[in-house]
Amino acid sequence: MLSLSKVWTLARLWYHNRLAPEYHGRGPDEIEAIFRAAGLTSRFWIPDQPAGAKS
Amino acid sequence: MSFAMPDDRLLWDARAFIYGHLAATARAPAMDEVAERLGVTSSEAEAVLRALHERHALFLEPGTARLRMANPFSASPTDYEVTAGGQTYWANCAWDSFGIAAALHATEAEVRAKCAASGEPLRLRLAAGQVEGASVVVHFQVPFEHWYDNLVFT
Repeated sequence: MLSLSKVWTLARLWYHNRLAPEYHGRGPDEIEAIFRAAGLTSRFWIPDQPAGAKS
Repeated sequence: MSFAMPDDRLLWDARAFIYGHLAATARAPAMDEVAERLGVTSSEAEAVLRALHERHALFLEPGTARLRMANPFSASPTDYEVTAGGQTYWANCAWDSFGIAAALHATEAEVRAKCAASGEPLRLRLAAGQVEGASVVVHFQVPFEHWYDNLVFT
């Protein structure tokens, strides 16, 4: 469960450049960086994290 | 001349056109509009869309060349409506509702949806770049690594 504030933060990180013609997708490293920037570091978001890491 | 695998230039031109059309009109372009934009036949345009689907750049209705999602936009009606900049869009989910505002760089938006638990109508606002509605939470049911197993369910 994420708060609306967190969802808005994640939405901006994830979609801010979605309309840009030069946006061609993103790789795993960039995706992980986005989740980390939003404070989402558990295995739910980043699968290779050790067990016990919290969102 | 035969048309084999669409080249990348066509793919990204098509993607940019589709996203621009959705942002401007809240509707997906018709296949003949995509074809005209790319300067190809409708069959070739379908091949371009299928290639974009394979790259997860957009999502087609299963077994068709019809657009279902260009995240965060839905090409067909959903229970998530977003009004921003005088236009009303359909989003694919709760997160994509705010994703539309983010993609449009909107600081003002209204999201109309339903509570998944109670069915109660929800009206959420983005005002001056801040979300309102502190008591609402968003449930992400599927871990990220499985999102594309069934994107509609996700």
